[in-house]
Amino acid sequence: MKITDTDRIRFITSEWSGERDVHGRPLVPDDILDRMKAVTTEEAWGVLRSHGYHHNFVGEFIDLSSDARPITQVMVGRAITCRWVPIRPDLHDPLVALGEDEGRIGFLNSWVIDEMVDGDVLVADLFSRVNLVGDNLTAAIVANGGRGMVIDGGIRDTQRIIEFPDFGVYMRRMHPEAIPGVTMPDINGVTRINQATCIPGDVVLGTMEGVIFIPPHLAEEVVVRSESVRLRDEFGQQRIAEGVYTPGEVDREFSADMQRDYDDWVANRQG
Amino acid sequence: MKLTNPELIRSITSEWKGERDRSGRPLVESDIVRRMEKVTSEEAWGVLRRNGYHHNFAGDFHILHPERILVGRAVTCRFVPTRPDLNNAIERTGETEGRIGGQNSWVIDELVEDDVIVVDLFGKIFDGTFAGDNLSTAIRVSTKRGMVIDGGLRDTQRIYEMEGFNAFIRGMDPSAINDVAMPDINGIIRIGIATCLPGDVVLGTMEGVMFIPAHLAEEVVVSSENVRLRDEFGQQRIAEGVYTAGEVDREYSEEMERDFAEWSANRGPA
Repeated sequence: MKITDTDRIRFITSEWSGERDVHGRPLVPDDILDRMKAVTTEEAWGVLRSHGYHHNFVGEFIDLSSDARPITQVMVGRAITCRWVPIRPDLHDPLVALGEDEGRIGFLNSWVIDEMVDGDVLVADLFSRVNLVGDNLTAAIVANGGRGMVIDGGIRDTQRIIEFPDFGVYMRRMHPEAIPGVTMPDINGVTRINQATCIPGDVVLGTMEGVIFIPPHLAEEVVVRSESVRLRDEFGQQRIAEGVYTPGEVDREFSADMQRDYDDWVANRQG
Repeated sequence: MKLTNPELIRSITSEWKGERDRSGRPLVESDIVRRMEKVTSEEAWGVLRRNGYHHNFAGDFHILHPERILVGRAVTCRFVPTRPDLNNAIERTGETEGRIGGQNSWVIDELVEDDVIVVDLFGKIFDGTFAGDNLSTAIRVSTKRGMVIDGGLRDTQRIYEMEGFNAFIRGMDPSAINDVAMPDINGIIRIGIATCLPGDVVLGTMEGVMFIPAHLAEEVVVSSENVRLRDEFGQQRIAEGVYTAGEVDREYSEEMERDFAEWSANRGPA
């Protein structure tokens, strides 16, 4: 028995031909993650939609934004997932024994955090009812290079957790209790977060609207499409300001002349 | 990829020493399953509670026939909102394993007599109806028992007419199941605030559904039968004017215990 089923992750993500970690989890390159930060939720949504992905966005998280945590803050990282269920001794005891065999220590929530590496986002199904972490484990996530967490459940020590700068916190409840009455049958399995499904290695893009799980094989397309849209917008708005084209000309498919102008402009543009 | 992981189920249900099917699922004896029909939710709950099981009851169902008891061995499946990458992988696996039709019918094809199918459809009702009258007929014919669905049901008027069958559901809708994918058959699933493992004995009453671990099923049955026997004895003796209500409703005296032992020896099994 294993808590992580490496073969299964590879099989489900077989459209990904790039690098993987030891668990078979797709590793989208850092360059794509960096560029993903400028993508809007709708741009990502549009690309996913055009590929038949209709259940990858989830919203309605608690808003923790403040002067110190601007609502415009964006979270990007690679998903590492865990699924929790109400505890039963017959299920929990073998899981703990297995964890001990694998040299894992602490409660089960720290096992998944111990596996996190730089650029990860922790995604946890706690069926909207139970906490996952407090400030100590959050500090561990940050220390491991975690970019944030998406918890269909809650956190404790919220007043401390919001002090971690540039760290995404998407969750549904705050309560001072720890993590009572649950156990964790899967690390890096197929995980449902409300009406969306997350698979390990997905690129998680968190904005003020919510979280979108981008399949690794579509991450580059999302980034490139978004960059292209942004470039055209910049060009069009510049040419309107210069009085070269009317808004109507810019807001439809470019004419052949405009396209040539655009290609020249892109080639000469810095950055 | 496999939809069923027998190694996982065997290791989780290692307290069960009896028979198993090829998916590793414990097969509690038919005699115990039959005797479970008389157990109340509270009797089962008491035994589970004593053994440290606090998250095995799920309520708030719409029960098609609240007057009928549903008992059987759990076969589980879990659905999630679909994604093409996941769904393609599941469909390829199904094809390799020679499965046909929709994914919901794959698990129905595996059912045998005395099974109860337990389905995690995350409470989805519109486009979340696990079965209509055709698949329900298949479930009824193979299990002669019923189903527990954390999701919806369609063709309810037809299914209502089926004899010897019951359904615990979250709602009814004429739409068919759509936009979901099934990554696990006979895995660990959550139904509301309870966890169900394959091979659990399902006990559905008008109150809701209890998932009884296979290794505790016999203890639940025996404990319930013992309570019922004592109740019958006590009520008979009160009616006969032998004991007072107060004497019966506390721990029996030594003399009463001897009387009870003789009475039950003469009475035969409950």
